[in-house]
Amino acid sequence: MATFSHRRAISSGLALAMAYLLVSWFSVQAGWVSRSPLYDGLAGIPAYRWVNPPEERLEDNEVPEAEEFRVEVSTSGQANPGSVTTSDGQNTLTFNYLPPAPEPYAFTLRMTPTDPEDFAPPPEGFYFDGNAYRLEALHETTGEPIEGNFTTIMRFSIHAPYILALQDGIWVPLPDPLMTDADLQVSADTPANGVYVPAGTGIRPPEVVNRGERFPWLSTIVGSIGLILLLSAGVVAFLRRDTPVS
Amino acid sequence: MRAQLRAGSWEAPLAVVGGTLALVARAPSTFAVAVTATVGAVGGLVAVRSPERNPSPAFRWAVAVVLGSVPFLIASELIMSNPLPRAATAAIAASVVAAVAEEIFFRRLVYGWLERWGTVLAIFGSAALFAAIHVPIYGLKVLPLDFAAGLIFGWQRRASGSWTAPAVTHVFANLLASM
Repeated sequence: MATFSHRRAISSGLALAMAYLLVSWFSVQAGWVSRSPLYDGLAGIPAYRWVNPPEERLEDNEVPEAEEFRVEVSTSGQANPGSVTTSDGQNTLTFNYLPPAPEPYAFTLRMTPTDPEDFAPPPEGFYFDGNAYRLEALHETTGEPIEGNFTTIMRFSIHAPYILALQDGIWVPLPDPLMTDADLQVSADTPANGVYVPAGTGIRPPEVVNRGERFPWLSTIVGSIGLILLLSAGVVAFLRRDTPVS
Repeated sequence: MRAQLRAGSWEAPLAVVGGTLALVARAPSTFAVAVTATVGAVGGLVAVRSPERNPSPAFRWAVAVVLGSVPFLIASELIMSNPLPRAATAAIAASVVAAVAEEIFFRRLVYGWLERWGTVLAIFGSAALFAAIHVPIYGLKVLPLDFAAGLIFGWQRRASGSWTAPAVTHVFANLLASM
């Protein structure tokens, strides 16, 4: 084995570490990823859970989760927890700003999935690509709505570069949304209380489903060939394990 | 005595091709965990031309683990958010099994087989295959990040002389993403 000096090992390791951080930063900026990825190839993104599923999802749709959280706020406006997520992962909030107060306080946060069509049709040229989520952040003691600013991160079904907010009975696109296609997520800054829905433009394509009605022939054939080759090599290696080196 | 395969023996390339195809064809399921574990088991069974005869001292191994793990920690804490819900215990366990199995396959078998053509090819080749087998599930847009991660794992294999250093980091990176 060639010599691999400590200095060379450290310098090349640092260079690759920097390269990884640069690629991470670029991937986030480009909207390719938003979260720490798994490197195991076992967990895919689960199918979207609809309040009112499209036709192609009528058979396998699961009901989305509503959640209620209690959030404590320090006198400086620091929230604990700093973010909350529905248990199905479809709606996440991070608390960017909460008003400071002379005494610590708490608020109750409800995240409720609903059918966006119940409020209003989508604006012309847009389609809904997920449930609407009603956010209700109410002061625990007074019951008053909390003033604050959240980042709302919404899972979508297919492709949703926008988040629409319900304002005066119509849906309005929020400014500066950030979409990460790989995670099927879009985020934007929102007020603490309101109703929001992920949306795309043009005609919504059908959600690709491959859970039962179509057999994954290609994957099965490729995987079977791979396993046969792999196990053949494994058996031969096992039989040869005690063979002296010639 | 464990056999060392002669250069040109066919088990290693056969296992590399077979294991890669099996990993590419995985779909998220319990069966995929079994496939991944099998790939790892065969990856550990098949002898390679440059086995880990001279494992590096523990200090060097530890430096490789720490230095290789820091970029994953920094990226997770400072660059990326992690808004998905915490994974179930079974999913975390599967993630750990997969991380170890993949490292046995990529950084022991694939790396060891490619190393006959040079260390650079071994590091880049194993990283490229590692990134490629994740595309069907995670998509093309994660390819650069997976490739960069594979390079770090390959570097750890080279620096420490063992696949166990990248395995520890791989497990750590998966835990960061799932906990």
